[in-house]
Amino acid sequence: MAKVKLSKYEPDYDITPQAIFWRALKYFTTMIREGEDGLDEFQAASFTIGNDIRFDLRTYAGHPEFTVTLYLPNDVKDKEEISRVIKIVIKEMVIPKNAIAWQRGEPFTYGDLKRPRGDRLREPEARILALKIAAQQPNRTASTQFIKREVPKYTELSEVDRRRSPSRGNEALWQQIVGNVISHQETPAGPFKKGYATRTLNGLSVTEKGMAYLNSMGFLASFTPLAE
Amino acid sequence: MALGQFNRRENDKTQPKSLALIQVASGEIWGRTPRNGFEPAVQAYAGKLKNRRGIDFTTLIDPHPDGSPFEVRWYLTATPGVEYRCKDGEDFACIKAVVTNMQP
Repeated sequence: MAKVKLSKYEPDYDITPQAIFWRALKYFTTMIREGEDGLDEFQAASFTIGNDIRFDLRTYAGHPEFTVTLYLPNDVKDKEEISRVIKIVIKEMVIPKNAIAWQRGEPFTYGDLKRPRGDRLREPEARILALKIAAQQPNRTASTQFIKREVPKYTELSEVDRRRSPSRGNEALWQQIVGNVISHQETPAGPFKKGYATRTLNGLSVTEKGMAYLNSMGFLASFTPLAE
Repeated sequence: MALGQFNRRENDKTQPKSLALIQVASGEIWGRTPRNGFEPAVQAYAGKLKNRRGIDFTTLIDPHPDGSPFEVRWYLTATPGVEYRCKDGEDFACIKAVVTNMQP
């Protein structure tokens, strides 16, 4: 059952920023709308979790690239409630810890938010990213080469990501990480053993189970089962 | 002493060139009630404009504490120091600011 549901409707409430993530909006969902308000133009997606959690993910035109801000309704003011909701969003959308740039309760300086230098793409995140990228392709199938080409559109590659792989000198570390997702077929936590994807000649194909998994984190608006 | 730097990015609807001239001359930045909001608020990004057109400004008025590292608001009644303005029957929040026009 889908836990994070994409909402077709724009919020009918005012919003307050409560957390920031170091990822592009397309990392979280395929259903992105354009909007504008008193601050600026923005791209956004609205979600619900259960009956009591509503939130928006937005990137305003003046926000740094590859960041997304989590907004909750203005009437969610209790600090413990805000923390509770942020925790749930992070868990249900499978947001890696190193992608959390700031959340309410943490001190900050206006206009100053620096990504940790050691932040990089790790294999658990790369597994989901590979599924997300392939899920949007015809027949939900993508080659490793294509997935590697697309990854930098979802997450800003860090200095550590771009270092040469110690074992594959002709690739950067992040490219090896993505390649490992496809080549390490026997990894228990990998997409193949979990039934989320099947191996193809040069990449992977997302299964119905994989699509349902992506749907459960709000990534897909909906999906139609492929014909047998 | 003025607080840190804030900015508004140029856009045709809420931060056009003509408005920047008024803001510099008046030393004021106004804001309407946000969509579905409860009262007028001035909205801005935190920090200086970077390679973008718009206005940079400083102000002595603390923003509302519900901002983020990237954006701030000054609410008409919920933020001390914000002034009331009315134009053509519409209510506005207003803050005094030193404005630099970066969208000539």
